[in-house]
Amino acid sequence: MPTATDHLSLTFAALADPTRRALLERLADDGEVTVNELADPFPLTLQAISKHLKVLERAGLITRGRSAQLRPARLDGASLREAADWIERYREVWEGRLDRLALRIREIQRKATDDE
Amino acid sequence: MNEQYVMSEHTIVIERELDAPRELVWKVWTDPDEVTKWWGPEGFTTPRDRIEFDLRPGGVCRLTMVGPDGEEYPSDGHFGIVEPPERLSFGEESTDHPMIESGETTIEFVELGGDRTKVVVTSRMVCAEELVSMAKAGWTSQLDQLAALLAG
Repeated sequence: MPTATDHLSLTFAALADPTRRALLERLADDGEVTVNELADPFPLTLQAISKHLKVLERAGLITRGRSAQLRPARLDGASLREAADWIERYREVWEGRLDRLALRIREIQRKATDDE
Repeated sequence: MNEQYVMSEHTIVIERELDAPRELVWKVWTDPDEVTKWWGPEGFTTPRDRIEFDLRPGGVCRLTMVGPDGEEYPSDGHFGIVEPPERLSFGEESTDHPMIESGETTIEFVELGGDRTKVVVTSRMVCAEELVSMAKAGWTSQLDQLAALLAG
C-alpha cells in the first residue's frame, strides 16, 4: 500500500482519540509546549502523555524538539492539510465530471434539435 | 487496515441539476459509447475499448482512465443497484487512491418536472468519525476546510 495512504490513515487514527485531540488543541493555542506542561491539565501519567505524543508525532501532526528530557512539542498542520486536500481533489474530480456530463447532454440535445 | 485505527465511513454528496429528461441522463450515464465522451476526469481520457459495463446488480463495472502522461488508472468493480432510470450504484474495488478502495458511489436521478433532472452523487469514503465532529467545532482552518468538504 502506498505511503501516502498509510500516512493519511495514521493521521485519521491519531485524531480519533479525545486525549490526543485535546493535546493538539493545547499546542494550537500555546505553540511549543513541554511534556510536563502538556500533562498538567490531564489526569494522566507523564508516560501516558508521552505515548500519545509519540502517536501524534508518527502521524506527522506534531514535531518534537531535541532539548534533552523536555522534548517540547509543536503542531504541524501539513498532515491535516494533506487530508483536506485529498478530499478537495476528490470533490473536484466529480464536479468536473458533472460539468462534462452536462456539456455532453447539451450536445446531444442540440443535435436532436438540428435533425428535426 | 490495522485494527488500531478507529475508522468510519463518511459520504461526500455532489448534486447537479441538468436541463434534460431523466431517461436521457440515465442513458448518457450508463452507455459506454457515451461514458467515454465525458467520464474524464479533466485532462484524462477513458477510452471506449477500456470500458466494460454489465448493467445489472453484481455485473462488471470496469473502466480505465488514462492520465495526461499516459499513466493508467484502472477501476475494477461491480454494479450494486441498477434501477433504471432512477438509481445506480457501483463499488470501486480499486481506484487511483487506495483510500477509496472499498468506497461505493450511488447516483440518483431525480425528476424535477419540466424535463429537468437532478443528479445526486453520493460517494462513501473512509475516515475517522471524530475528525469530522472536531472539524465542525472549528478547531483550525484546515479542519474547517475539511468539515466543509465532508458536509458537502
